[in-house]
Amino acid sequence: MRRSPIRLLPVKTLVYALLLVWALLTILPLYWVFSTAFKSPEEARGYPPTLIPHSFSFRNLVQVFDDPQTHKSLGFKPYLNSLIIALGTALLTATVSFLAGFGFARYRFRGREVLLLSLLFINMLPEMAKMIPLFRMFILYHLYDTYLGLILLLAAGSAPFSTWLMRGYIKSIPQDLEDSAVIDGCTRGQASRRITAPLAAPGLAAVAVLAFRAAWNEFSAALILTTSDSVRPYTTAIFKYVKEHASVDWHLLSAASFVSIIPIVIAFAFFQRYFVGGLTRGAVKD
Amino acid sequence: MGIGRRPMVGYLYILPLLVLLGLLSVYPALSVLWMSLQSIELANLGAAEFAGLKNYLLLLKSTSPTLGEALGLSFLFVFVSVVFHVFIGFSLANLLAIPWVKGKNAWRNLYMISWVAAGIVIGYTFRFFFEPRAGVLNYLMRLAGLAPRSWAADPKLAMPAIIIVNIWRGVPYSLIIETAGLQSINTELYDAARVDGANAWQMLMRVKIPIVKDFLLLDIILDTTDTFQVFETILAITGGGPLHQTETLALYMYNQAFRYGDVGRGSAIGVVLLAISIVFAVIYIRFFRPGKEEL
Repeated sequence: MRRSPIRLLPVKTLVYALLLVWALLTILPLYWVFSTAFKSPEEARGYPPTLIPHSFSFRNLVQVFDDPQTHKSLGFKPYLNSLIIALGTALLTATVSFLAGFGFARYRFRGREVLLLSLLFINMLPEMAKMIPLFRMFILYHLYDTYLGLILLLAAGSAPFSTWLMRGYIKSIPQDLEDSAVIDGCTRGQASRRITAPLAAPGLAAVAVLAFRAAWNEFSAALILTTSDSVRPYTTAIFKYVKEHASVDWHLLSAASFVSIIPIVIAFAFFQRYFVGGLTRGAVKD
Repeated sequence: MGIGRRPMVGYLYILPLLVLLGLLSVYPALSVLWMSLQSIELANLGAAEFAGLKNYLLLLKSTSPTLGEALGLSFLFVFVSVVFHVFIGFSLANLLAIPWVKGKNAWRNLYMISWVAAGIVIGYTFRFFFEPRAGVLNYLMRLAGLAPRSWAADPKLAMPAIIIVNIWRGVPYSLIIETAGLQSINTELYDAARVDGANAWQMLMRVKIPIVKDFLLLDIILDTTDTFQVFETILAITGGGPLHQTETLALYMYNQAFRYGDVGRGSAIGVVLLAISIVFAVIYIRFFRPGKEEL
């Protein structure tokens, strides 16, 4: 059934050309930001835009972290805040969804099916629509402008999908392993921690990375539910920075963007195989 | 069930999830319905008065822009975005499903970048890209001998501009779902179709699409609900302007509630957003309701 190489050659060229076109379209705007991050302020502002920075330096990347009180910059604090919020969210989401996934996969309790379907439903409730009641609630219960409030909210956002994903993963792990651990004297709880959790590690990694990304990139909840520099993540700090300065300093904004994208891209490239596998296993029918 | 497994214990495992979702998802979603029927100001959240349908009536008639206008913009934004997402995502997934294509993971990783980066960062990236004076797009326009434009500030161009950004951003999501769909096809089917002499087009229409259509539908539903939520990319590029031309529902709600301080009216817009999502959620669950054996 193999076609001759001569007929395949133009097809191959076309296929790779199409893949390359989308790759270039993806890269082009980002490339501009990334290269601007290394340009001098004059070059970043200048016309025509330069493809490769003439004045290549790491100065902007350092300046981003300068003290915002004395310099025009973002400071280190917003990134630290984002990191705390994103790690907290990833940890809480992984814990809650592992437990719930385990419960749904291993126990047949009343109302289980309805609850599982409700999770799909809850997953589709729009975040923005919930913001007004959340705003009032957060002020009332002192969760407004706290790490804890944001972490709880963002974990609640990631949890329904993550639970489905974990449940699928745990179902694919044979129960016999836990049963024999119980015969050997473990309690059920110990068996789930010592036997099932390590085997579900790829699923947990997928859940944690997805929750981390969602929290690292979160904007609207941070905009509405935080107000002080001690909690505000980098996303709304960038927004505030642009709003407060009449003219946008593209070299600095680009450097701030560059700093924010690098960790998440590395995390994704590293975990990609877990997470594409995990997505397809949990998202659609098994 | 295994040894010593009491069904009631299952509730203990799901309890943290139920508490979390009950307080931070279900309660606010119900609460916004009630708040939309009240007169509430941001400056004085404690003082709420029952107002019936007043907020909705004001939104329909005398708010500028009206709810109808914001809905119209949202539908346009969502429809065009989703059509392109699904078309480009499915095309790329098909190209990456060809057996002899090399570096599949590398291509996929590269495409993912636009989805992985934060929306606000993407927004400013494109604001920079569209910048009238030093922006790259106008530079390219001049190179091509065309007149430069102020993309984000022109009432006619602002909507197309944010749609293009959103298309750019959302393609990887479709790509992942469609890739999963194509991977679910048994390769023996391809061989069988090839033995029967099917060409590439027939293969697409008769083998792939019928099998992948569930995934296409899944993609369309999830992407539609997601696209109605798009907020910060638009906020960064146009802020909803010029002349409210890019003020989609999410921005409209934010502006009414948190910029103009009319929480009751904002809640009513929130309810409209909620209603749209619920329609799609119901379709989603009806189509994809997992079989008994899967639950």
